[in-house]
Amino acid sequence: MRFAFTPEDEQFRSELRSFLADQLPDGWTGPVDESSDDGWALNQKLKKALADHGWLVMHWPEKYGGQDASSLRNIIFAEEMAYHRAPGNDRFGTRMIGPVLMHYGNEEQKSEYLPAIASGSIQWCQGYSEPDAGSDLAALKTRAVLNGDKFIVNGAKIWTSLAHRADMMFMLARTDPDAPKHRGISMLLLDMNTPGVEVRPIHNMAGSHSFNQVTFDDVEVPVENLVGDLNNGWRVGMSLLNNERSGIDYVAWAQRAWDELAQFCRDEKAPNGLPLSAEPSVRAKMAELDAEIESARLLAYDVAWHQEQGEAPADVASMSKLTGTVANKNVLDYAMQLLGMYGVLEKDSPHAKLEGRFFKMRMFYTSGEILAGTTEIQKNLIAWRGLELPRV
Amino acid sequence: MELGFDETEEMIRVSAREFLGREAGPQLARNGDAEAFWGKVVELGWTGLAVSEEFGGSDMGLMALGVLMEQWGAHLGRGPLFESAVLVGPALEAEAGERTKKEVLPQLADGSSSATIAVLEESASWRPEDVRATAVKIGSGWAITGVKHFVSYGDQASRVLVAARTGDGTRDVSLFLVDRDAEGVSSESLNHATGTPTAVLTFNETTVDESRLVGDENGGWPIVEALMQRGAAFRAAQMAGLGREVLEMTSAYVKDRKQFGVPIGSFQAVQHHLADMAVSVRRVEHLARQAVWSVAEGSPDAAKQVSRAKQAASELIPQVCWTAHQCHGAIGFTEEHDLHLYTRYALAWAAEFGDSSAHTEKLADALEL
Repeated sequence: MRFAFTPEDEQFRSELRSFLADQLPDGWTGPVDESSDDGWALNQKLKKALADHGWLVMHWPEKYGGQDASSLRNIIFAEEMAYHRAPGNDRFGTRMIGPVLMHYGNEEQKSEYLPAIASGSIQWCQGYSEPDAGSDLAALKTRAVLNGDKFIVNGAKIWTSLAHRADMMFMLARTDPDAPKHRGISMLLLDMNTPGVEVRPIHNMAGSHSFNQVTFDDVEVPVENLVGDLNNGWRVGMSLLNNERSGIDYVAWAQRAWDELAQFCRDEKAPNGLPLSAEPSVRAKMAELDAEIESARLLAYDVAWHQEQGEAPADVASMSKLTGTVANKNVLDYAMQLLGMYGVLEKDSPHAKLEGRFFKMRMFYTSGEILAGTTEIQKNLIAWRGLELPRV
Repeated sequence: MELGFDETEEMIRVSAREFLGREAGPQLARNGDAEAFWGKVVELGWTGLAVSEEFGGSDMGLMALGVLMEQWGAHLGRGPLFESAVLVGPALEAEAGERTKKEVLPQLADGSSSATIAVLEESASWRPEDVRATAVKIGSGWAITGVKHFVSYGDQASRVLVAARTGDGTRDVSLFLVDRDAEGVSSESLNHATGTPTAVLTFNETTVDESRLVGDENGGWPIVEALMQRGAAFRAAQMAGLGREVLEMTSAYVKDRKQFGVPIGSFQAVQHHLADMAVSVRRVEHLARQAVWSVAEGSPDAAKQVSRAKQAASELIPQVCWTAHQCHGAIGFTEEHDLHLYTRYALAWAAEFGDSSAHTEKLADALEL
């Protein structure tokens, strides 16, 4: 065993840090608000810069424009991007549909989309969840009926992040309503400019427009936009979920929040005139959170390490997603407690502490334990796949 | 980053698991022949695993020993392996004089003698100011007087590494390697809930030769701190092993036990208990292995990593045991069921070498809070 990265990996980490210091605005504390035009512009700028640097798809095989970077190097990339609250890693393209196309796509699809993803010139969104298909994703009802050389799509997707910015959607649609629910689904690639596609914003409780409802009214999708075999979409669609389920982003967000909160505790005086960080209860809680973050980080590295061995242990990915999101929530919960009355002053208040950032983050990251499989679903998966407990 | 076992580590893990699964476990903990068991452990060469070749050991390093201790924890091993091989051996190798090393280390390595530590007193505190035992210079040696509590295998070990005050400053503590059968040593047995033979040792002007001063005069406290750090890292490793064993027992039980006509493990309420246990165990495994690795490598982060591991182990592993009891229902509340044997160790180990709050405080320091 060895609990250290190689000097080459550490070198990469420091290069990436300098790159981000150059690229991000001075004093950048993020996180980026993609609902604002400024925020989106920064996202696009970084995506391009990463592509030009060869880092955007460095985890891809060389033949698709990548560098065959190891899963461990890849996790350093994700960790640093998240720690710096840097937008632009384009996870929908580079981490989700890109790898799916490499595995299941045909040559035309690969040559049409992979170079566009690699160069940062296309934006994807993920059409999975529906109003009546959340945790029970396979209950999805959006219909795609094959008619000659095109599918006619009708239905609705919801919670679709970045649909309002996206050029394309990869979506799951029901192509055989009579088959058992997992066997009648196909994956389609949809041009978001197709007539009949309507995107309506949904504002989240943190006050930003990060996701949407998307409806389809007799939308035509060419048959060549089917990924993999007809009615094999469940398998195709699930293959990317383990990429979605590493908790490293949340670990890095939690670490950044912890670091900022620790500095706040060193600077801020308690009523007794001593710094907050001298209070035994603060010291104990902050240390406990640090240990929690560290264990979540090791679990995220564990996912990458397994991928490096060519294994995909679903229970470890679930543990990582669960521990990362919970650690992040716990740090933010404690921040709310420490900030007290000031914790609920929003960004624009002249009296807000830490620029009102922690309130916004606490509200926003409520989504962590819900998206990409809720905490409860992760526990089910750990019990079923890791411990082989019987499914009801 | 290499999170899997290398070939040697895997070999140790598999053979330890096989041997301890057969020879130790609840059977040994309840009323097994501890002496015969210890004889077999010695034969396997485990006592010399981390002792360097120069002193008759196999020099496989602390990481290998950590892998072994994880299994030792999982199977409730009995005998002074932790005390001799994890605590005293490395301390002597790093700090004792040549004469003592040549005399004692080969015996620890081949198991012909064993050793333990006597640092804590009635206060059970790891602060230097709470060392009240004294050592006074007499002729060519020292006379030690004082009372040491919580001495594991205090009656079985051949030698005891004793911390005693040798000056007026808070940290003026020195360490002495005392023969257990020296004059002026008496003992009283503590009735320890794990069944681990544990003693209060009283030293009444017990004399030791100058050569048995380990480290410098008044230079013992940093050695004690290193002992505590190593002890905490390896206890965390044992707790990881124990947690894994309890998880496996419980997982097997809920698949087998039927209520309402189905295995109780098919109920989501029970599944989520098991998932929580699995996550806790995996967390502690990673943190403990990282802690042992940091200690073995002498990493500058060792203080942080060890406190993270021991804090998490002390919080999470007893909780894993309590959840296991809940999942076992009434049968897990009985004396005849083995589960409580593990719980007893989890509670004992959670408190040893710094409990959760001691390590959060150390960690807060290390994090510059």
